[in-house]
Amino acid sequence: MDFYLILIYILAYIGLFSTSFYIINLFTYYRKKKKPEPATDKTVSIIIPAYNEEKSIAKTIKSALSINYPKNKFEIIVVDDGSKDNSYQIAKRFASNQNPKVKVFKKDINGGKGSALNLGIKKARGEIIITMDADTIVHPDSLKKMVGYFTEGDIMSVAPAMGVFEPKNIWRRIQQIEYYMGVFLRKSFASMNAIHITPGAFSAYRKVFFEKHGGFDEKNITEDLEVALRIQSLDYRLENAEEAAVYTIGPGTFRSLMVQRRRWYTGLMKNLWDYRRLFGPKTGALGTVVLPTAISTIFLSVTLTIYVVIKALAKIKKELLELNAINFQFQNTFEISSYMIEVFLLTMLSSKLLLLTILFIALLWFYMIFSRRKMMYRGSIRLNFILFTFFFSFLFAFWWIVSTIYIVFNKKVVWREE
Amino acid sequence: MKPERNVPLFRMFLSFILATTIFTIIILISSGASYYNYQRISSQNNIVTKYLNDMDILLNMSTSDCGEDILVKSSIILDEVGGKLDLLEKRFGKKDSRVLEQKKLYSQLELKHFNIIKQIKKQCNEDYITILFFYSNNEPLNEESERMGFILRTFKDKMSDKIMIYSFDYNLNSELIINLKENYNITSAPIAVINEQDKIYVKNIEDLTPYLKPKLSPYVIRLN
Repeated sequence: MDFYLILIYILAYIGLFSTSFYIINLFTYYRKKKKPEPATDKTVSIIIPAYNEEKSIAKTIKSALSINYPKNKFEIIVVDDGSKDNSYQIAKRFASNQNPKVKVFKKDINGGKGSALNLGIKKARGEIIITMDADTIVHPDSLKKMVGYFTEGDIMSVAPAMGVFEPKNIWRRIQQIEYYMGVFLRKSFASMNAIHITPGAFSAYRKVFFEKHGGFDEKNITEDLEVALRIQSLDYRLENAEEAAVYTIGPGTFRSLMVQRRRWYTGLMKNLWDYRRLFGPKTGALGTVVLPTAISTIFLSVTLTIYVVIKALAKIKKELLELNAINFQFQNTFEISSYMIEVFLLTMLSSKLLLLTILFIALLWFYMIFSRRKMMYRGSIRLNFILFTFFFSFLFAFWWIVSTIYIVFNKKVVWREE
Repeated sequence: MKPERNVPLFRMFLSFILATTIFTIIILISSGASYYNYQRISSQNNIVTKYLNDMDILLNMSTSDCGEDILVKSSIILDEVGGKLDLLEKRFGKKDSRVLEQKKLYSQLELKHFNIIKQIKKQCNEDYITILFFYSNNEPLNEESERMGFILRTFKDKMSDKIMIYSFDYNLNSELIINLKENYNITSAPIAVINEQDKIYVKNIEDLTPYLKPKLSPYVIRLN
């Protein structure tokens, strides 16, 4: 049997097992647990760290101001992280417009997102800290829904349902489907207390956690991931408000997306290594199913994609040599005949691979239905789904290869390119 | 209050059962499809045997009949069986024993068609060009063989219907192939025997021109 067939079978089985496990847990969770009502009983501080965000900072503050929450229990803290542009001046205008809810602070030297958030936490008066990125758009009712999930004292963080805001180009369309997959997965992880990543774009934390266990790790390039793993390692809980819709604009070019993913994946590798004690039975489903499945799926799918690409390149080389042998004089080469259709039917339809592919597309579609319903998204995602199905695995493998090279050669990973 | 950190063994067991069941169903469905294809091959062997008899009849007719009917009928049979063999190779692989058995029958059909063409050439004064192409599916000769086959096919498509190519697997364990190799003194693959005289190995379509263009001169050359 071909090496790639063995890989596909192993991946398929892991995928089937983990998806079954997630669905069973989610089903049990919904049957046992009553959905919390939206709440406004806690004071909230929204912290917006900004570094050279003059293009989007006004939109972000407006989005935060439009959040439907009692005025006396809610403040917005903008921390300018030593911007070289007009971010501070723009933010300051909101504060000076007789708007006591908006407070703006400036750091003279850029210290990174973690340090800006920590300054914001120091200045915050709310019981709940919300971290909000400068390219985030929040549904007005999402905050109440998230606060409603802080029902018990050991719930230290609540993540929303993240989506991509009006995706128009190929990169954002692909990200939209990926984010929708995340909505399903995050909820199922929450059902077994296995959330290990909180979205940096918009997440809620109890301030008491930072007071007891320190703020964000200022040296960490994925400080949101680190704090989620720290919450897990200290035996607290993370919840997910799957109906609290929050949208990010997301990177719009191949390069900016690559830079983001390089940061995410190198951060994931480093942080998982630092928190390797989370693996194993002492953390329940997180250490026995969720993390091992994630690691093995990444490893196997990247290996498979590399193998498929190498095979495809060898095939292209062979075809080119053949065409070269006839001096590239094409004749009926691309004719689609009944013969070709028969080839397809006989070679593909009876193949195990096709059946497995159909199964996974069906599962992915199920994730989409779940996420769209929860986020009340009405737009069509068919094109985005097709783009995702065709291109994501190649992009995913590419990002992981680049990130691994950065880790192996100890290259500096930047937050974003200037 | 500390959260529960128990390993959910029962849910893991349920998931294992569910995943294994779905996986098994998929394997069974695809194996069923594979078995169905195998049945098709078995039934096809009977059809090819019938075709071999038809070819014999056509070969006998060709000794006295110069009509196009014999050529058309025999070519249709060859194309049909050849097309199916190609599909089976793609589905089961070139080394599959069922495919190799099928290939032996196809080689017999090719030889009979080759003999029909020889008869027509002799009886009806038709100048067909016959190419016996010996290829290998074994590494490392398979890539060269595929490329040479591609060149020959392209040349035929470009130049004339009067070129007849018969492909034989050099490594096929068959008496017919052994005899052919002996008759034409074939000791390696890929190689082509043109009109039972010239043995050539080509790397580029241009390499065929000196051998075939003079022979094609009586016909209209469709493309250049």
